[in-house]
Amino acid sequence: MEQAIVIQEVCKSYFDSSRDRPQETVALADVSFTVRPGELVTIFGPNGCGKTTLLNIVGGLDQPDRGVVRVPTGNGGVSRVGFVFQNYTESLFPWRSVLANIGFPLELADVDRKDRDRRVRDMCDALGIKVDLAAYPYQLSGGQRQLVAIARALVSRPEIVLMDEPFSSLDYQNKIMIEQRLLDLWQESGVTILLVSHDIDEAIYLADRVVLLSRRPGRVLEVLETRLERPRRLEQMVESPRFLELKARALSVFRGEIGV
Amino acid sequence: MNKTALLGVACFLALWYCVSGLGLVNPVLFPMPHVVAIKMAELVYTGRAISDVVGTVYRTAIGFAAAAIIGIGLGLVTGYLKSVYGALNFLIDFFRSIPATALFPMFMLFVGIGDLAKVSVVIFSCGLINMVHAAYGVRNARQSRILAARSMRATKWQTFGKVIFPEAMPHVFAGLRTTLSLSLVLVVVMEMFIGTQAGLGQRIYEAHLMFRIPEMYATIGIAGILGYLMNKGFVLCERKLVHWAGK
Repeated sequence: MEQAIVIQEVCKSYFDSSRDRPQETVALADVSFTVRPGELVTIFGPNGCGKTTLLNIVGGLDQPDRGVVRVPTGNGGVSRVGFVFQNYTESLFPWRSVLANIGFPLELADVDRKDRDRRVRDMCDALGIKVDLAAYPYQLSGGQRQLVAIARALVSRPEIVLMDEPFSSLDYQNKIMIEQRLLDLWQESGVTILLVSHDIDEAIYLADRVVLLSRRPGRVLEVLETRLERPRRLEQMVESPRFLELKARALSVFRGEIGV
Repeated sequence: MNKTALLGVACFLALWYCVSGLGLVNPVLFPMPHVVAIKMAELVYTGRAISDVVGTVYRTAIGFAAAAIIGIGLGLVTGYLKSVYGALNFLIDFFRSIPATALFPMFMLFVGIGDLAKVSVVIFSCGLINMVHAAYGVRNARQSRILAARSMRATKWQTFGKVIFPEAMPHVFAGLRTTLSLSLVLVVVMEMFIGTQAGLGQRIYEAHLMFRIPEMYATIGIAGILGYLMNKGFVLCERKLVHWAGK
């Protein structure tokens, strides 16, 4: 089967000039893994391990120093990769209404207005977004805003969605609700998702496979196949033996990594 | 106007009556409020104040608008092009620091003493302020939003037009608010200094020279009301047009 995303021996360093003595920091060292079409893969690792850098490279926002990343190339101007950023407040456009925010990728691709608005409404229905589409992002709650950001990433029907800690700035209740909606939508649409998380429960609960990254410089420590039944419910999941086994495995991998 | 504001106005008028009525200041130089008010009504009623206001507003509006178009246009470009910004940053700061009034004679040399001279000074001074604000706004556009647009495959033009430009708008409006007041100040001062057919500055100065003291105060009052209304109107527009600022 053709892979949706191929990441091969990706290396990335950057020059940290913020310190007293500028030095080169290696963010990623020989990272390789693949994502199959329709798969939901999460990347879990400690802070500063290059998770965001990796996602930016996959999304074409950054270039690797060495190595290869292959993702489907754009077709007809509409992006086939959707991106959800960690900070929804700083990635949504406050001068645009919810409607115009979600429709933004379609507008860039010159989709005409009527078609655009219809697709935005369909996407909002699919995600269960019940906000006034004429409202502005600053009039919404954090959870609603992140839903809008997710809708914006999905509206152009991309084949791949990259998500950088999309739930980390939400309160617990919103997080659970939005995770559930994302899983439902993912199962219906068959989209491929690569999601970065720093919460191991979340990483296991959502994923088909969990990529464990080491501390900086980021390397792949292990790839866990979750093999948990779907559809999943968090409350059942956290008690299942398989979930606990996976979590224990992940923790022992990291314990070995930090040497305690 | 709310109750507290009304109270403030009442206190101010009372104080004015005391100072003038008790002769703390020579009443000839400092007439009572109602004398000034009657004079103001007379100036408006006879239409003399109207033509002054029209003249002053006309020059202010032309200068303000031209300074906005030229200054913001140049500011957006210099802000976007990093090397241009680096090269011009110091120069803009220097020219902006020249007191605008110091430039009157120079502009009179080049464009004479008509309306063009007055408008030119406004365009020069206010244009530079607008330029600085627009360039700053562009330079400080949030990287995260630019990145978001790039992640959606926005072209450079799309990124500039749909992200960087609106990102700069709150800064641009801060500049416009400053230049609106400054335009009026400069026009009034130049009407005094250079003279004109009809204008509030000229009326104030002439009343002063002819010792028509109530008329001087009345015209100052009219200039104050004009400035106040312009600012209020601007703030209303600003809230509507850059509703997201600071949120």
